[in-house]
Amino acid sequence: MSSTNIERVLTALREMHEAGILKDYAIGGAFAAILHSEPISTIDLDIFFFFKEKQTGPVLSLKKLYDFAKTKGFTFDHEFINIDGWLVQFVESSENPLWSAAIENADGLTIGHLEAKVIDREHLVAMWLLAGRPKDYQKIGMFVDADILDYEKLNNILNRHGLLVKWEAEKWRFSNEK
Amino acid sequence: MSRAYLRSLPLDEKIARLVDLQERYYELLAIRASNGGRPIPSKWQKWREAKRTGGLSERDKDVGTPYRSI
Repeated sequence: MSSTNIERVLTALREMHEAGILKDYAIGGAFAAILHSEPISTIDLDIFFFFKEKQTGPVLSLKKLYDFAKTKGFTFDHEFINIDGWLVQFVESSENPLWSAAIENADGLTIGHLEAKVIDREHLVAMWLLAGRPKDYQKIGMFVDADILDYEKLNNILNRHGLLVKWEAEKWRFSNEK
Repeated sequence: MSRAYLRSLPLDEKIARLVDLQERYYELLAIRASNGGRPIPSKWQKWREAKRTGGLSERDKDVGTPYRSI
């Protein structure tokens, strides 16, 4: 296996789960796109997650994550935790029904010797469609080009989250759209 | 190299290629900046700093260099 330290990130996530910080989590964003399709350039690794304990304050606090990072000697700022050179961004997802469903339905992939939960292709496409930035549409186009989408599953997700109209309006952007 | 081939790579090899892409992209940004072009974007500076401080090289691992923390 090539040495990328990614197993250190996966181990840290498992430890956060075992420590009762994360209830559930999954890899999303461009990193998930790479795992499902092909390498593209990205600087960070997005983790969509739920805290085990519901937050009660008006402002989301990531203190528990930062405290964990401190105990492990990971550096961090307001945006990223640096795990062995990987910039890991944590996205609390309990308030977003689409993100929540994406975590709950994530695929289990084996990376090296470790299991990783990775948001499935169709939920990723729905999340990118919702975000609607040019780089999001590029990733949708990449999946469409690769012909790796289950369109029945995608339609169900888009319908459930009120995104079918947007899909119809935007699908001209993606080559080989179906 | 075809995109179909890239898609067929094992996951750990895809990740290794991502790391290679990141390093080559940063190198291009640094060359552009050093030749009077736009400065390296802050997110890429942050990426570089993360690699420098958080990523242990194989040599560092051999001598047990500790992580740096704030």
